[in-house]
Amino acid sequence: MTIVWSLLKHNGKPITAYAVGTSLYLLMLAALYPSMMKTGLLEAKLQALPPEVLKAFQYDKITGFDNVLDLLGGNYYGLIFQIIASLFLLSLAARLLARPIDNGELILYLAAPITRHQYTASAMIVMFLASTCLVVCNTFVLLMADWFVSGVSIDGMTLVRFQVNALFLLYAIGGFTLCIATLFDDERRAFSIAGGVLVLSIVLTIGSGLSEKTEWMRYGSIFSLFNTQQLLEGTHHFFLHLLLLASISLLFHLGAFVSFRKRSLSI
Amino acid sequence: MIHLQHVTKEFAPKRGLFDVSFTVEPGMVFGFIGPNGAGKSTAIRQLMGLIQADSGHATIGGYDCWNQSQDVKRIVGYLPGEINLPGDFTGEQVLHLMQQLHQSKPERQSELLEQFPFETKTKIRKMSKGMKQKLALVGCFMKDAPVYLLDEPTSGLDPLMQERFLSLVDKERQRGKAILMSSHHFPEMEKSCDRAALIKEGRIIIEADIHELVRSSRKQYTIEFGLEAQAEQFALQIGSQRFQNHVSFFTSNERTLNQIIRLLTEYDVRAIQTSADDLEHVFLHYYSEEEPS
Repeated sequence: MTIVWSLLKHNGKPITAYAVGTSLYLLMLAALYPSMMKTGLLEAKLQALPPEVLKAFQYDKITGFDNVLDLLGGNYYGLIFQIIASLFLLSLAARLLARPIDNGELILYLAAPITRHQYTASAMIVMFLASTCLVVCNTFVLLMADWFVSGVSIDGMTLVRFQVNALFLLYAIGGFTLCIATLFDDERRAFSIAGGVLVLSIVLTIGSGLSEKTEWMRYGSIFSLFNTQQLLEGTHHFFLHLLLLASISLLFHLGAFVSFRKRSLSI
Repeated sequence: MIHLQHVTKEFAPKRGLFDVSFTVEPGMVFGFIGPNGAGKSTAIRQLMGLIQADSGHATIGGYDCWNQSQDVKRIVGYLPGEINLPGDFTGEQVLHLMQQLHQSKPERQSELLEQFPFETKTKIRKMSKGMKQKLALVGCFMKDAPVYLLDEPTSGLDPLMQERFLSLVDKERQRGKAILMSSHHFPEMEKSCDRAALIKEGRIIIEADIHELVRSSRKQYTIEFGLEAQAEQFALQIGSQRFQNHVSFFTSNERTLNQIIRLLTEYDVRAIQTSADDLEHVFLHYYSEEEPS
């Protein structure tokens, strides 16, 4: 617990910044949603956009918005969340493992009678807590908006499915970034490899919306396991996707344990 | 207490450790001497379980340094060569964390802070090298471990702190601690170590009792003659160079020295000077001798 507490203390500011920043953005959208609906400006603007762009943002529903989740499903959870999640977990994995390995700060912990498994487990717990904190803050803000702003009208079950799916996506990306962070002595190398894979996933997601011929590209990306449009329509393989994300998370976390246990450290 | 047996870890040709063996017993300070990149820190990392050897065996207190590193670290106080700590933490926070991680006593921390004082409320990123070194020293010794691994321990310390450090090491030795210390700061090694090993390109080139090592070193002698002509003649006799009426030569061989003294009885000698017997000469002797011509 000492290590977890210390790592949380050391990384508390960026975790809070991401959680508060995304929550404020959601709050702003939720607060503006009723007036946007009243003026009809939003729908007019969306209809003016090419269908490829709308698809890239998972905005299929341009015929009407029933509640704020319809808007967020495209605006925030369609693509922005994936980009923010990638940056958040890339930087957190770098701060927890890649950077301390690179600059030698890790010796503060590894000189103590703790195993590398204990340190990896602590880093993993911090990643889990940080991801959970982000999703809980986002959910809390949306619930607050639902209670206090008239016209937001969020469907509780859809919101829960959104957030649970988002949380599992964060766990999976977190496992991947943590595993890559254990592989290299050089922080920039670890960051660029993990970042490269995540950027490719985002490109595949965007590319899949460009035409029907490129739709297959979505399945090359981990983000296909968080399809907001299908979640809103209720056609999403919710539990299957959760299972796949949990498996990816487990696989990469195990990989992180194995690779960090075996490697020599020049710290 | 500390055993390295034929440990090899090759990073590249001539980089790493090659067949390194030595033992440090309780109550002994063992010096590990060598230039930068010779393999001193690699050997210490090996003992800390940070690096896995290609071959050979490293143990501390009977525990295997790679497979039982948790047990090893329970009995070891470690001072790294490069002090890298989280910049956002204050000295106080680092010491508190170390105290919790190592389960050390707060009384010992206070004693050490009196000997090595620094502003504990300063953030690490604002600390000078000397302050960080003192913080690391306090953190390392507050553990009161039976074994200490110290990599360049006086780097960045002022002379007063260096003296205090040496007396602390002496005190710990008297308390039966096994101390392995790497450095290329010769006076402190000479003052504090019982035995020493010289390492070059990953290989130990000599390991001996420190005083024996110093005694056996090649020393420089300078003879001052009454006349330059005599200096010239003597230089020719022993195959050395003359500078005005002075002739200097190196030898570690007592027989050679006695022969030279016998020769000198025929000359008008004004003065004989010898260089100090110090570890630096031992170091230079071995390192220059090994250089390819």
